[in-house]
Amino acid sequence: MERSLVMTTEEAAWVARAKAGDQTAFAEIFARYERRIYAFVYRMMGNADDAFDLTQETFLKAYRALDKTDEELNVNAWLHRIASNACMDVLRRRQRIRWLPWEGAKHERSSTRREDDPEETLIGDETQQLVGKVLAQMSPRNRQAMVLREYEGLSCEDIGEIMGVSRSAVKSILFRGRDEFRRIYQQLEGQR
Amino acid sequence: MDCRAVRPLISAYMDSDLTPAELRAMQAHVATCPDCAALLDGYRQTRSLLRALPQPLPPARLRPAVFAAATPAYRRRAFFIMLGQRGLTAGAIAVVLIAALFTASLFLRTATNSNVPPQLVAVDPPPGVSVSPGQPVRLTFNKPMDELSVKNAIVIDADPPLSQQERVQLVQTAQWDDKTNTLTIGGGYGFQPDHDYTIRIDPAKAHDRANTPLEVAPAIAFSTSNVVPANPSPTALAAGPPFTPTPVVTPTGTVAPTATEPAAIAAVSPTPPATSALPVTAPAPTVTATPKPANPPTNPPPASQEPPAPARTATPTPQPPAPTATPEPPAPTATAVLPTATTAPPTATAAPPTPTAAPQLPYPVVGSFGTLYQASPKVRDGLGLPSGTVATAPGAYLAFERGAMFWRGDTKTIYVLFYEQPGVWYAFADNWTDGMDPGGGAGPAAGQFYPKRGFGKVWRENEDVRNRLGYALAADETAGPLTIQPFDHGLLLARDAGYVYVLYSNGVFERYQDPGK
Repeated sequence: MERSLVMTTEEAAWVARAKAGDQTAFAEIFARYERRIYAFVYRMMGNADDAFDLTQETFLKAYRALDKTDEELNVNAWLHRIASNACMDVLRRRQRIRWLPWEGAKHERSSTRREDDPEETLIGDETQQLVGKVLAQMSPRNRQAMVLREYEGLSCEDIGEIMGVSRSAVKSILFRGRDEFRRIYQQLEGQR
Repeated sequence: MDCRAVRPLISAYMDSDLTPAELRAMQAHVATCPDCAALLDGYRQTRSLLRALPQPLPPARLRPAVFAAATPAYRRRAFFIMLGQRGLTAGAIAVVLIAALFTASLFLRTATNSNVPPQLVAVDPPPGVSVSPGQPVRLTFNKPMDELSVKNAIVIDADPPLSQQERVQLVQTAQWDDKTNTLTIGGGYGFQPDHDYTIRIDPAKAHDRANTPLEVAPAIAFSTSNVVPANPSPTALAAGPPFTPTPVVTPTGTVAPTATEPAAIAAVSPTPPATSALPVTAPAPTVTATPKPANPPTNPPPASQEPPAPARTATPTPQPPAPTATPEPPAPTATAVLPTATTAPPTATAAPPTPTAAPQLPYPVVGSFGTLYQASPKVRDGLGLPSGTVATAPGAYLAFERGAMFWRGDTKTIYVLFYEQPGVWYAFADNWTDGMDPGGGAGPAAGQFYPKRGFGKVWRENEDVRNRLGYALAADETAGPLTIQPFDHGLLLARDAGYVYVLYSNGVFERYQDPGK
């Protein structure tokens, strides 16, 4: 099930208040998106340290950029875009995809099952680690699209807005990303 | 249509992004092409794998870290907004800016000095807002503080007023985080609903690690909503905040966590609890009293709802002696009684109960107990398997300066918990009867009391207990049922106050906040 990025009236009010300097409004934005952004960054980077640092950086950048936003701001897409850019910057600086031990087991888990997707199946820790390794070995751009689409369930339009590309470009990236995921998955699974 | 042309369509099909004609062509091809059918299955499997990944939760320190860092920007923003709202001219703004830059340069010079005074720089939630009673308050400082001094400097006022006991309990929730220089107060069920709170850090007491006193900081005022979170189902609990080890306070106010496991549930170390901290030289407690709650149940306490596990008498030594056949300690010099744990060998491989895995356990572990037992390998490994079902017993509770006492009506037992590092507990037989001296009365200082009846008798007759607990914080006990479940190596104990106590057989206890309360 796709998740909508449509801004709610409530969010519009938060943005207006936050732009006016009301820190409680920013706190409400943070409360709503903290978990989602952290999870996205975690899946992009593969470890809790980066997820912490880059989620913090995302919200600080968002806070400082509130002045420059317009009243029609799509908060979810905006925060994801900032987070995506932060992740890509770090990955570029490292010149390679860094793989740190998968730390899924270190986290509290809000739920191992998503209520909005009856098709999903529970997977074991071993498979979770394998999926994490696959993501870590994917090209950052393909991984970004795959995490947004297949992990977060966002639509191609929303992904295009976040990645700054057209809808048709998103389709191409997802096509490549799906193939890349499967290729690496099968390769790693064969090594087990 | 060949496979190379169909594959992008299969991917687009996963995104519901095909025209009707493309959809028909794709489906016709897949129906006759095993390779492309396998590809479609592969895409579906990829989706299932990714969507089945757990959602990692951000650590609790993220929020204060963000807001501590955002605060200077917030102040700058508020400053310029204020200027704009007051209609200052560009020239005036320039003058103010120059003055601000000058001030900032002075500040920066000062800030590089290790003697820069400690300041409270951020508060979460922001002052003046209404928060949930379960939401903690986080105070962030500009530098590392002396933890003990800050905790001792906490001043809490509330309207309606808190009892001394409630105030002490709230202060005891304070936790210091060195990574973010943040003091967290409350959380779980720390604050009372529908109250107006004012929290202040007394600058006369709080100082940094160079003994530089805290700059005077304004009081933090906020209100709590009257919405108390309902006790969620086990599934909902798993999605909510984790059980959090609650710190206990030593006689000098030093907070020492009763558990070493971090906040993250899955990060809980599976290490069994520490070995017994019972003092070898501690005098054997002499029990001749039977505690009686201030408001005892109108009905006589029922007989134990569990098959009476073989009670063990033991002197408080690091390793409890082998259990004896004596179900009750000999009066009048009963020694500390270890919990109603059986002598079954440890079974550290108990699988956490899940709604579908419950039959794996000899007895179900449900509700808050089940959530904790499932979430914490440490608790699970330390307690072993449940040796009985959960039961409710008449009970009473009394807070002390450095610990607490629980009275358990069904087995006539008094549990004495010392808030030490690690937490240590004793159990005493309950032999107090009507007609004995009830004791009680005001203590030597305001807010201090002599415990009454059975609690008082244990307290008076055991110097070690008296010295380690300090005075009672209320004149009377609080009566209320206890929820108890025995395990092979200890028991779980709770009353309706938002905490779950884990009493291990080796004499160590831990306290956890119950997010469902």
